[in-house]
Amino acid sequence: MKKEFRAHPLMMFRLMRPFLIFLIYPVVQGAIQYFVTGTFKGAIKLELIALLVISIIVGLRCAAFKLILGSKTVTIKTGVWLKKKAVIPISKLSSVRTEQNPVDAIFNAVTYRINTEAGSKRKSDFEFKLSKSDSREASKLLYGEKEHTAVKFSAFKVAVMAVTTSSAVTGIFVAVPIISNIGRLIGVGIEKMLLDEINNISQLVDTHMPPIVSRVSLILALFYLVSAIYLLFKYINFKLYLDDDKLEVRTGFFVRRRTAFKKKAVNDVKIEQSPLMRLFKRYSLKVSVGGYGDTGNETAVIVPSGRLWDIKKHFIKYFSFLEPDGDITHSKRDVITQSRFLFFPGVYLLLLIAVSITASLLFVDFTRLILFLTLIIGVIIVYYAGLSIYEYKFGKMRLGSNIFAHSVKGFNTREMYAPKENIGQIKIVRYLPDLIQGTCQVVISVHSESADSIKVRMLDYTTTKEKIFKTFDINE
Amino acid sequence: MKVYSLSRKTTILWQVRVAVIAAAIGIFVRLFLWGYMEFQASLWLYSLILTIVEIYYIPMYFKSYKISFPDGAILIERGILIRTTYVMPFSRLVYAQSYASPIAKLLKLSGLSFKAARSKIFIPEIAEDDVKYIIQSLAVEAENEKGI
Repeated sequence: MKKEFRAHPLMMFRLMRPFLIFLIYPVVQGAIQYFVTGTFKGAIKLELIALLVISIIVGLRCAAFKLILGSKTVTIKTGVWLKKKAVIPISKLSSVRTEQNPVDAIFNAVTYRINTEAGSKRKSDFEFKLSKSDSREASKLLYGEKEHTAVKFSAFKVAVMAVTTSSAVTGIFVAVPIISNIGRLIGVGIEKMLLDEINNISQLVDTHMPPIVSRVSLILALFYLVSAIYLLFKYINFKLYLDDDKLEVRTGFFVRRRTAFKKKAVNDVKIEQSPLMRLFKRYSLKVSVGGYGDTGNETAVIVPSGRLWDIKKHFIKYFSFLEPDGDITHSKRDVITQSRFLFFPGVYLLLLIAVSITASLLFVDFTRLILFLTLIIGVIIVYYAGLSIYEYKFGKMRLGSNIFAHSVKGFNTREMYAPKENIGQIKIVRYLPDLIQGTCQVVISVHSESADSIKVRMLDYTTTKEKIFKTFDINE
Repeated sequence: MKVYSLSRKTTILWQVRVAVIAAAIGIFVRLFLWGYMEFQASLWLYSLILTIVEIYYIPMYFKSYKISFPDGAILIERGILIRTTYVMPFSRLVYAQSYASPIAKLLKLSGLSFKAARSKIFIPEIAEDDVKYIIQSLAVEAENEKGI
C-alpha cells in the first residue's frame, strides 16, 4: 500500500532562500523606507515584479512536489519544467532528519531531510517541508511503530559537552552571518558598532599584555561564548530513543531536531575526549552514519558527555554488535619507544625557544607580544607532549570481525569501533626510524564520506602486517 | 542479457536542443556583438562546427551508447573518439532517478541517473517503459541484496 504526501506551503519560503540577499532584502528595505519616507526609491518596482514572477515559479515547484512511501521504496517527485522522479529502496536510506524552528512551529510544519550515501557532503539528498502530522506518519511508515526505550540526558551533561566542544571558530561561523544580515536589513553598520564597543571595553582592562592582545582575546572569548550558547541550545532536551534496529536522537530548544537511522547504517562509533573534556575527565559517544547529510560532518552525538564507565556502559548497551575481538596490538612499553613519542614535542619546544629568543633580540619593541605568543604556543606544545604520552600508554589496536583502535586524533583522544567490512583502507607507513627499529604506523580509514580515520603508531611491523593480512584474508 | 540503446527519437530531441541553443547564441551575437569584426569573421566557422555536430557527431554519439545489466552490475559504454565504459556494481548503487523535460515527455522518453556514494552516471533519454522497468528491477535487486 502506498501513501502520498504533499509539501507544506511553507516550503515556498525555503525555495526562495537563494533570492534572499539580492531580491527579498531590497524589497523589504524598500517597504520599510516607504513607510518611513512615503516614497519608493531605486528599482523597487522592478524588484517587486521579479519577486512576483519568482513567487509563482516557486509556488508551482512546491505544488509539483510529491513524497510517495511504499512498503519497500521511497519515491520523490519534483520539478515543474524538468520533472524528476527518484526511487530509493528503504534499505538504502542512511538517515531521516526532521527539524522544526519557531516559524515552522507556528505554521505546524517540519523540515524533513532524507539522506543516503549518494548525497553530497554538507547537503541533504532531499529536503522539503511537511506538515507535522504528515511527518509523523511518514516516519512511522519508514521505520515502523516498534516499542522504543527513551534515554534522557541532563542539561548539565549537555552543557558540559557544549562548553568543552565549543570553539571561537564555530562562534564566528554562527554569529558573523547573523550580525551581517541584520545590519544589511536595517541599514546599520552593526559590525563597526560592536568593534568599537570591544575596543572601549578592552581599554578599560589594564594588563601587562599589548592592547591588541586584549582586543583579540576579548573577541575570541565572545565568539567562544556564542559557540557555547549555540551548542547548548542545539543539544538541549537531548533524548535518545532506541529499539532493536533503530536509533533516534532528539535535541533542541528553539529549533527541534530529530534524526533517525538504522543501526545497520552506522559506519563507525567513536568515544572522544576534547582538550577541555580531559580537564573534566569526561568523554562523548558519537556515531558516524553514511550520508548523514547537511551537518558539517556525518557524526551524530549519542551520549553528549559522561565518565568513561558511563560511556562504555552506553556503548555496550546500544552497540554490542561492535564489541571488539582479536588480540591487542600495541607499541613496546620501554624508554626508547617513549622517547620516540616525545621526539616531536621536544623538537617543537626547542624550536619555539630558539625562535622566541631570536625574535626578542631582533624586535626589541615587541618583546611583550613575543613573550605572550611564546607562552601560548608553549602551553600548546606541553599539551601535545601530554597527548603523546597518552598515545604511548594507551595506543592500541584489535583486529577481528570488528576493528578497534585507540589513539589520538588532532588534539582529541579517540577510540574507534567499526565492523571489518566498513574499513575502506589500511595504510602501513614506515619512516626511517621505523625501518631501523622494525616498527610502523597503521592508519585505518572507514569508507564513509568524511572518512573517519585513526592512526596507531610504533607497532611492531612484522606482527602487525601478519595480523592485518590474516584479518582481511590476504595471501601474499 | 538485454542491451539497451538510444532510439532515433533521442537523437532528434538532442539535435533540436542543440539547434535551439545555437540559434539563441546566434541571435544574441547578432543583436549585441555584431559590431565586433571578430564575431562576423568567425560566423562561417561557427556554422561549420554546428553543422558537423548536428549532422554527424550527435547521431554517432547517441548510436554509440550501449546499456546492459550483466550479473550484479550496470554496464554503460559510449563515445566516438574516446570510448568510455562505466561499470557500477549493484552493491554500490544507492538509487536511480528519472528526469524528463516537457518535450521528452511528449515523445515518451525519460533520462536516467544512477547514484552511488560519491559518483553518478547519467543516461540520456530512453523509452519511458524501459526506464520504469530498469528502476523497478534495481529496487528488487536492492531488496535481494539486503535480504529483505
